[in-house]
Amino acid sequence: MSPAAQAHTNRPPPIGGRVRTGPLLRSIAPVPSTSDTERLPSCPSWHTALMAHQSRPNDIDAAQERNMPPTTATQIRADLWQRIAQDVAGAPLTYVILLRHPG
Amino acid sequence: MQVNRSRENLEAAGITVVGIGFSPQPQLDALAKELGLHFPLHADTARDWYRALAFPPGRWRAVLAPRILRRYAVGLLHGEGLPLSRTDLRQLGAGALLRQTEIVQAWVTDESERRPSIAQLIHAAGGASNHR
Repeated sequence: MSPAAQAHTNRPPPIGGRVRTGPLLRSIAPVPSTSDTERLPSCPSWHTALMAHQSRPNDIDAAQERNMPPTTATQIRADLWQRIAQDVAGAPLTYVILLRHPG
Repeated sequence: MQVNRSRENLEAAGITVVGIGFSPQPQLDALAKELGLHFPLHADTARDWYRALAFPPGRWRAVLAPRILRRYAVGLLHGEGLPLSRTDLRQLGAGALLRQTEIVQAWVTDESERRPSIAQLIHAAGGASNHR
């Protein structure tokens, strides 16, 4: 496996290494219910993820009509979203993992 | 890659995995083949997903951590070029759990090698199921 490939893999914390005291992982969005979707723009803990849409409430309606995630409707290219949708057709849940550098 | 090794557990929880990379598709295809990934990788060279999820760029001290620099050095020794021209160095890993078209939960890492554990994903999936 090349170093570039290794860089994409998850690794356990170093054993015997320096203890990290800060938060290692931040979850930036709560688990909203479908019925909560309409209230998301006013939910403080959801604010970060929906920040771009709070100033454009009409985009959320457009997203639902287009069957796309509310936060991504206007920002993810349709062709990319379609490829993902084909991969996950029928799946109840999808984990979209964003690779980090190096690409 | 943890999610690759835990495919059966994730599938049992109803989770399908899709990878998004910011390199061109041929590089991602090569990476998927090298890692033996069981899930597809799609190129998002415009980084639409990061913008959509409002994920901030990584801090320089995380991006330029000694272990990361070591990997670049090893890569150079193996004939690999630096990624300066083809990606964003401050791009850190992130992920989002979707229920069909709705974002259930999203994670962004403060460190370049951290991601939500399989247990966290399955827990979030359970939460999503309870909210159906």
